Amino acid sequence: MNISRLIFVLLLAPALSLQGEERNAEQLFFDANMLVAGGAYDEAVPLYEAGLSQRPSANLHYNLGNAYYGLGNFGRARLHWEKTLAMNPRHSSAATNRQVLLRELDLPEPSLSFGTRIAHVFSFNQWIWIGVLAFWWVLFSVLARRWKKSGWLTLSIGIGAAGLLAAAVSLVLLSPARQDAIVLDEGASLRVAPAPGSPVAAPLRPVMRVRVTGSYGDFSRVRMVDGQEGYLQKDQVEKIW
Amino acid sequence: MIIRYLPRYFLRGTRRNERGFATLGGSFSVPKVAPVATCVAALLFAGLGDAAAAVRANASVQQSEMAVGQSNTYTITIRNAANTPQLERPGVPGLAFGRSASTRNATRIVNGVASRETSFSWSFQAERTGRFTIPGREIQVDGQPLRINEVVVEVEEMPAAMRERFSLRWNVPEGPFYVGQAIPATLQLYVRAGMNAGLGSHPDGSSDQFIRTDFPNEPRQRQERVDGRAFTVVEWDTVITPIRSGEGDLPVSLVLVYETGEVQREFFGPRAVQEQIRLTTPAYGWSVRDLPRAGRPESFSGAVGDFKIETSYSHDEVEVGEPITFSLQVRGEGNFERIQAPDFREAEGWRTYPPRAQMKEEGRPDRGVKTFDYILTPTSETVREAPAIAFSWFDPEEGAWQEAEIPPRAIKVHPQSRSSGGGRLAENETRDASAERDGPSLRPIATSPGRRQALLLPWRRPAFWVVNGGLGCLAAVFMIGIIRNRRAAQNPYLRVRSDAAREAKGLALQAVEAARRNDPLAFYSQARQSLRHFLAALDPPSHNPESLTWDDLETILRTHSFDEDSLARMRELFGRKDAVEFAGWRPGEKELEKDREIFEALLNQIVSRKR
Repeated sequence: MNISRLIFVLLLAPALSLQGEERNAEQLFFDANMLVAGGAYDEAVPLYEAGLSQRPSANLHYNLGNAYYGLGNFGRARLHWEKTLAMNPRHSSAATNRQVLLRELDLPEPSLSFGTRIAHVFSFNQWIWIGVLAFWWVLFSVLARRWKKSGWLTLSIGIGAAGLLAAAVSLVLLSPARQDAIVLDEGASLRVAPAPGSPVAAPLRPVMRVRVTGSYGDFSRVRMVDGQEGYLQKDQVEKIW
Repeated sequence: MIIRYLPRYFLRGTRRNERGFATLGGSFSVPKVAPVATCVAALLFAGLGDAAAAVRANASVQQSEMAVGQSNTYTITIRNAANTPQLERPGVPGLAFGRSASTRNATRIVNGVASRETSFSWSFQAERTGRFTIPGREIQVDGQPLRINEVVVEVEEMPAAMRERFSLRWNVPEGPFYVGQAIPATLQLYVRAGMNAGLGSHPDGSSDQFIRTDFPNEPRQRQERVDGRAFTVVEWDTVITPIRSGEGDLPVSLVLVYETGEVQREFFGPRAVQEQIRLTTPAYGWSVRDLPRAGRPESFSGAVGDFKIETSYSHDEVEVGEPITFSLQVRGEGNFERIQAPDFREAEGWRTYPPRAQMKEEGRPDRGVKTFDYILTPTSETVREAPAIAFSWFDPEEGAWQEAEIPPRAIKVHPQSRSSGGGRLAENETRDASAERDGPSLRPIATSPGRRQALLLPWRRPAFWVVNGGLGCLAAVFMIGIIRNRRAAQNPYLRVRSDAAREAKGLALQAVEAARRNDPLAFYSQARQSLRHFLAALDPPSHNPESLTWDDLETILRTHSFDEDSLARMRELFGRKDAVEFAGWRPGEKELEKDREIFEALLNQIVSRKR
């Protein structure tokens, strides 16, 4: 009897602790929102960040982006809005705020191909789940069809295969963006070699989105939107993923 | 084979000589010549046959002596390899090898023995004089190491006659040069007027000390007289930037295809003979210095050149929160690409944004105007002047640092009026007023935290593996079911056995249940039926369980090597059903329990036989 109680408590404890953590994260979220409403962005940022470490969500990243924007830290503002959009590509508020920021700074808005725009209906992770479930759907349909032949099962295989194909194409289209990063530092410069004294290949502005193509010690090799490549100190840039 | 054959022949020949059948100086009759020819032919064929078995490699060049720029061919030939290996392009400093090799395969059949030969050829040109060794290498062919010999090439100066006809050189301003300086340079190709020549490649070359802008795809052309001789000059403009100090140069080469003046007669008529030559810029030994540390202004942001600075403000009077544009124009010649926006010295009371930079070239990438547009927004009405800024650069002509100070500019800042909006909204206004008005406005914060979500790939979460593991197990069970079903459909034996076993299990459970509720008739009846089905499952499809008599069962039991004791216990158990049903015998509770145990033991015995 005692042992079964102990097992029950042991099983329940993580669930209770998770619930407590969630409640705490929600409290942090609402406290931070109050601070933002009062204009105290600098006090709101640590609360949002604490909330993210306990219970991350797209809205938390979005609000944190807004708080950084209020502080004038545009690089981090864009970074968190991009994270929001990576989690939920249909987050219209994050997309709008990013658009506002880019227009303010006279930076080009990301141009997406037709296929990528379609792929953005779901997030990268959602496509992975769609692909995995479509795979199982196809497999079970094939097995069921071997058990008993039916036109419905053939249709089911077709639907599953279409889902699998759509997921595969979308993942191929979206996966390069997983290497994207946002320039954070005002003094960031694209250098021709991975050394602090190396000449500057091009000046960079915070908020710019670059693609990280490699890592060399304290430097990341990055490619800019115009195709120019160079090296950037790792602490001047942060990856979205 | 050869070793054995040779002595026999010569021994035989020697014997003939000794016996006087034939002498070396005598005339050979046909019968005497025939064995010799046969033997030589056999030797040749046997030798080739033997060679076909051995894998060999040989490297060679078309010409072991050549002139700078002249084309040559390096060939590696591999014989008798079953699989063609992949060979890397040779790399010798001073010799420019073509990117890809041309491959030639040939198969020969000699005396019934096939031999295969594969050749890899790279064309190359010499970039400078000297003795070059194309190193040998060891490769793996058919799993065996194979050594390729080294080849030596002597490269001499380009003949004077050739030099007078073509040359490639840099035209750069006089040095010294400084690290980061944008040096306007022109690559010049001189070709004697009247020669029929064309470019075989775009100029190319790099150095770890200099970087350069791309050469234009369409170079300029002009005519020039040098020492009274006319030349066609092809020119590519570029901008060279040294990236470290020291002596060095930026060698660039290109391939020129020209007509030699000779004519070759071919089937379709005469054809002008063409040759190609690689021209490389000579070594200049440019001297590059570091920017002097002494006197380097704090405001230095990478500019090296000769510049003039102009500034302008969009407004002199603004309200709090209203942005004004401050433009800093850097005009002149220099490394515009590397110039970064300078920072304001003190910007207290102002909110500043990263500036927008625009470059307007004036014919060359190192000449023009670069404009930095800063947005300044006063955050307080106590502000009286725009912040000061300085721009500094290094002038390589003068070899000195220059600095332009832009002093603070008086700006009237009025308190914010009601119509202009306020507070942080105003701070967040854009630099481009029109874009601000037309574009969307910032969305407010979210009021609910939303569902838990993280940028973590699904397979890094346990839930992913739990779901897939579950579905995988389900699929495996499904698959096993399908396989069993198919096997049963294909094999009636299995089906009967499976059906009988299933039926037997059900009956056994019912029997045990009957024993527990102390119902002897039901127990013995179900037990007998269950044993029939189990035993029928041992030997399907010859037996229908329902029709099995004790004699049939005994035969099955004996076939499967059941001992006498088991047979006796089973017979007793079978008889008790009739005793209960027809003789009115009623077993005690303990006796029924004991029979249940016997029944279970018998079942276990049958199941173990079945397996």
